[in-house]
Amino acid sequence: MADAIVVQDLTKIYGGRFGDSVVAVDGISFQVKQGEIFGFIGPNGAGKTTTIKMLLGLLFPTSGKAEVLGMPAGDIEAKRRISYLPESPYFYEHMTGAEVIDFYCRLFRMDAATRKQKTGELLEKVGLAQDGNRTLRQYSKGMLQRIGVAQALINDPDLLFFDEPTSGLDPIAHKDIQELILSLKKQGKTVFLSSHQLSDVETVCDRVAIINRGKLVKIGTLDELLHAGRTVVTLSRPGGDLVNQLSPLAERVLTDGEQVRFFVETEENVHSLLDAARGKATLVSVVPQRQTLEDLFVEIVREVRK
Amino acid sequence: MISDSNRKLLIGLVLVMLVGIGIVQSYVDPIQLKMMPRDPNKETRELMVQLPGQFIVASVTGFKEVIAGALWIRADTFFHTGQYQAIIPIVRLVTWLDPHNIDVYTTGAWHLDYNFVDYSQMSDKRYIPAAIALLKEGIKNNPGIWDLWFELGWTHYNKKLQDYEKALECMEIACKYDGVDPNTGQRVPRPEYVDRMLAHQYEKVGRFQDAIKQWKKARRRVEQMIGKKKKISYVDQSSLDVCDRNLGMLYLRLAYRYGDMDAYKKGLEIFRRLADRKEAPADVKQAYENASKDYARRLATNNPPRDALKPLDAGFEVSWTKAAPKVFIIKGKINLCPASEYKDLAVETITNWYRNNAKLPPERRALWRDGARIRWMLTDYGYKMPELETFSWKIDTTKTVVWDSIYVSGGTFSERIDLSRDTEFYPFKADKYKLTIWFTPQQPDCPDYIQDRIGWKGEALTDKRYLDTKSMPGFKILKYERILDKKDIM
Amino acid sequence: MIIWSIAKTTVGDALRKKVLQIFLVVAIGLIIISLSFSQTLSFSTREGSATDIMLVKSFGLGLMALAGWLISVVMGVSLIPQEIERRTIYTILSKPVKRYEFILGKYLGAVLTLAINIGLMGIVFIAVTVFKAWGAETAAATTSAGIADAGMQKIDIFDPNTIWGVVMIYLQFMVLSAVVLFFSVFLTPTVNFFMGLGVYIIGIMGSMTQSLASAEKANFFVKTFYKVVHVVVPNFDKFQVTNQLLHPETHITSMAKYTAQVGLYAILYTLVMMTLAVIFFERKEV
Repeated sequence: MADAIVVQDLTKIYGGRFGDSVVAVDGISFQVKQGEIFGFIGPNGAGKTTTIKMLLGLLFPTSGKAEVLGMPAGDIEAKRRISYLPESPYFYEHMTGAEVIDFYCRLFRMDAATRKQKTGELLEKVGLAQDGNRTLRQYSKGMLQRIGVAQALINDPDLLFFDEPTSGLDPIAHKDIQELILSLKKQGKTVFLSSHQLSDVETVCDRVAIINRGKLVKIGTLDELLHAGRTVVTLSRPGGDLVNQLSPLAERVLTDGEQVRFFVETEENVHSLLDAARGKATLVSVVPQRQTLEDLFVEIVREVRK
Repeated sequence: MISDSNRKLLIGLVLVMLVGIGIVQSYVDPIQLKMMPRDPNKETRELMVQLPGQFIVASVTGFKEVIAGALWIRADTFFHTGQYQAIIPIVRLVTWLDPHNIDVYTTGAWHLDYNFVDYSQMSDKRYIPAAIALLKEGIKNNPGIWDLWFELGWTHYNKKLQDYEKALECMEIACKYDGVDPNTGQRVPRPEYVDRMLAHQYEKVGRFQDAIKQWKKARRRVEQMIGKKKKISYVDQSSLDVCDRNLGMLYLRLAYRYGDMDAYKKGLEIFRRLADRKEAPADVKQAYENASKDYARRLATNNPPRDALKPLDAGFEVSWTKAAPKVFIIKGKINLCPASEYKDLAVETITNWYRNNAKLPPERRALWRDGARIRWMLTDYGYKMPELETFSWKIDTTKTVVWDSIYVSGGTFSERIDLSRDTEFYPFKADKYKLTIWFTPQQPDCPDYIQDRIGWKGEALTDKRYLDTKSMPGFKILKYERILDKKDIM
Repeated sequence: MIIWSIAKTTVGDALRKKVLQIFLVVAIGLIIISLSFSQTLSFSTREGSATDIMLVKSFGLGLMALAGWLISVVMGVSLIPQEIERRTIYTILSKPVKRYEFILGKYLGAVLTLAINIGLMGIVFIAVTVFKAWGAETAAATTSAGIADAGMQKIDIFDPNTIWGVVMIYLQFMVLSAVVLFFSVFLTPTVNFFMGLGVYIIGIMGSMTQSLASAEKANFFVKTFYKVVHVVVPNFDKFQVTNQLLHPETHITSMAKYTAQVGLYAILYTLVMMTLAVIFFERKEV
């Protein structure tokens, strides 16, 4: 089965004619398999939204290739099978919820009967059946987000782009979105999820790509990305020489007042470290630890900043 | 996204459409040029500068006609308060903002000709060229309208300047066009009186055959207008009667004054039609009866009437004396139609004027020599009335130009003319002046009943001293001329 | 269907804009108030009423033109930028909607909004002129002043030229809307506002570029330059026919013919602008 998304050396450079140019996306390459939930994370300004817009045909790449469902990004036929829920979606305030759904149905050239049926179904699905006749001006943020989800489901798409779908939602609504994404996966849909809510990404995504300053830094499954078997050895009041002696055994050393934490990757190094520290410092704790996505995220961003 | 080839196609389409636009413009531009108001001349530009900025902005942004309308209403206020000087600049601005407002041209010209008056209500003749230029500008901007041609001819050349030939030219043109309803701007037929006035004008200059043709034309036109009942409500049988009576009288006068028996017959035919009507007044029936009998008698005795061909000594006497600096007296005598002769004129058959007048009490009885006017004119020596290329109300205040007329009563005339009170009107800067005093047999100087005796062209006139046959070829007039020095006047 | 759907939402959105509602209400209010501008209101002689009726007509047409300018520019400058700023464009263009469908839909919505506004003003304007003329004719026919007017035509209560006037105003701003929409593809609303104003002012002076293009003493290149300017910049002065409507028989032989020619000009020019807008919008990054 062809990949849902194929991106090859995709680059987007802004400006350059008269002033400094800005490289928003710098030669990124990745694939998204059909039926998977793909997380796309990065700090603000990393190039996430730019990448999504290029995949949707809203922006045009400076160079590189982008394909969606086997067709060039922005192709009209591709758009019949995809959908997009932008961050904090905005619709025409004067329209009611039902009118908005009907409007988007028309963009898919649906006939009147189909539109009516779809409108009822979708409003029911997103829990707005009672509010369909109220204007969007009267909707809360959560309700607007649900309308956004509804319009993203109109064409029963094969590939959905969600950009910060849970931003500003209460915990219940948050949970609903997570469940929705998982149910879409069960239906065999592919979801491209861009989010700052790393807990969401960790919960639902099969694979994750991390982008920073336009470059793709890491990509893989969570198991591949997150450190397994890392141990944190905490010593109290080690001497300065001891810390220098022990540092090569650890991936990372963090000093916190009188305590020093050594992040050790292998079991062998754990034992070597303990042996070297015996009698020279007080052992506080030895804790095996699994890295979180957030940890990885922060680690990567800080490294790049150095 | 559109392909490169489609993009090129679209660009090509744009270029083709631009060419199409150029072609459409070539049809529309000439029509549009005609709509544009004339470039303002220097005086208008100066006036525009004095207008508040918002008026200028408003006139550029599509409110020209609003400003014009508002200014014209303002001008009306000035008129009612006697501030005539303020009206003319407004006229200039309004005609620039809205060159198709006919009323402004005619009213503005009338103001210039009639409303700048001196202490004794004589108008300042130096404004006449401006009035004529204004009307001509109006005609240039609105060529196909009868109103302005008629105004120019009747009110200005005819009444003001007594240039009857030029008046006739203008009125002939007026009779080619219809008019515009001022409320809706729609085409409406010119009023029927315009065609009648042209016929009178032909009579005035002595072109009788043209007058006859014109009366017939006017009558036919009235018939057509009566036919279109819906549009024209004020034309009816009485309008036809007016044409008939005037044509009838013209024929009869040709007979009575010059002995044209064929014309007599035609005139009688018309009056017979009028008298035969059930509702015809008794005096019309009587007049027709008398005239028929007179015609039959004259035909039988081969004695056509020729009243205007019998010589009459006018005995014209005129004097000019200075009563005070810039004040002078013109007086004299003239013998044009003694009452004793009138009762024997052939025209009495149809008019019964003498008989009717004789029945009146003495204090109401008119003397037949009354009603004529003697004209006088005093100008700088060598003065020629300028012809302005474009409208401008700035006059040469160093020139002295004045003329008026004196009523003849009981065969005498006398007038004290005081030019001393209005130094702006009468500056008397020149060293020499020309005084002309004259009488012409043309209407309105010479009423019908006097023309019945002396003829349309003064054929019967004789005078030992002042008879003039050269100033108006074909006409006999009485004329007195004198060159005055400044000291004669001051 | 897509173009029409987008047009409908554009109309709904535009009609709810407070600033456009204010323009419409103020314009209609002033047109009604113009009944009181004349000294004699509507009760006058037939002759006196001529100036009054002309004042009402010219004021109404001028006001509609001004309101039409404001509506078409204020609405037009934000047509595309607002969609981008509010991000409504993302959910639309991510659907199978061709870019030209979107921009044509926006333009159709704009001209429909313009038609509604000018149509409403036009109805009030025509009603006011009819009322004015009816008042003048009723009074003139029954007062003693009517005797003096015996030589005058009856006042026609309804003047069909008023409809041409409204049509011309609509055509003019249909063109301006197309120009402003084209610029809105790549200019910010503020810059576009002044661009629209500038194009309108140059367009109003179309007769000047025409004169320069045909000036006898100018050299070939200057004349060609002005000829190009005359073709490329929309000649808004062609639509300004207030004077001819008030005095229709004094110059143009057929108002219908002139309107048809100018209408063709308007359509061609609009097509040029919209084609260029489509071409530019295809490559517009949102």
